[in-house]
Amino acid sequence: MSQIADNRILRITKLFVYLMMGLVALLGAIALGGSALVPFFWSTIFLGLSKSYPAVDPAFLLSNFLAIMTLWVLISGLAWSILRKLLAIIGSVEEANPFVRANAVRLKAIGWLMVGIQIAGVPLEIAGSTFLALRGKPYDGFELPINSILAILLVFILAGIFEHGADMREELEGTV
Amino acid sequence: MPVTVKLDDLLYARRMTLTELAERVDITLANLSILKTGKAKAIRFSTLEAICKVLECQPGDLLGFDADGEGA
Repeated sequence: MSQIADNRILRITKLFVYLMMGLVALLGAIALGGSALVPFFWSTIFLGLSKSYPAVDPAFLLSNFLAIMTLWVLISGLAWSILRKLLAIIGSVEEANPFVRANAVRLKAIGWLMVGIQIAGVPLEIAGSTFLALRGKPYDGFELPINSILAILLVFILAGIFEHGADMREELEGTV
Repeated sequence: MPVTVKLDDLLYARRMTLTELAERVDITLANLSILKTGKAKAIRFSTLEAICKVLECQPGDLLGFDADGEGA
């Protein structure tokens, strides 16, 4: 086993990814359960809400709530997929075999899934602003997620590096 | 690939098997097989030197160039 494969950081990262997967699965399940159950109890919930916020429209609020839950389920699915791919990449590093074409494909897919999360985050933020407005907090508007954009670009660059690494490795394997 | 490896012909001319050559040049049979079948992407000078020493030949005797070959 190589030094990289024996790395503690790798083991900690793997543990962290497993924890994140658990969290994502839990949040996804809550959102799924919420979107399935809340409509049945909406009248009761709305009675409580209308006492605090009399001007609120129940149909509008319910549709916003369902939109948030649906988007949250979608984002959880995308995040789950990212974490699964990340786990596979970590596995290949553990086996001291990271420069394979599959990892380049995985990284590219992770990049696109991250783009998907960013896109799904926009309507989520807009729908969420309805609930913030109830509490008197106005919607600040869309902010450019510079950190996320940089992270996505980094992942695509890494995918290119892995593709190049896989090419070099294939050539090395064909060298006698 | 337009570069061809004529290891088969050289071995036949010297009445030597690939296994024998592998033992004498200290290169694995698998690697020599890759070279013989033309699947190799590159050849190290050290490999070329070892083969030429054992087969008493020049690198040019081992390699050929066919411009009309596949991938040319």
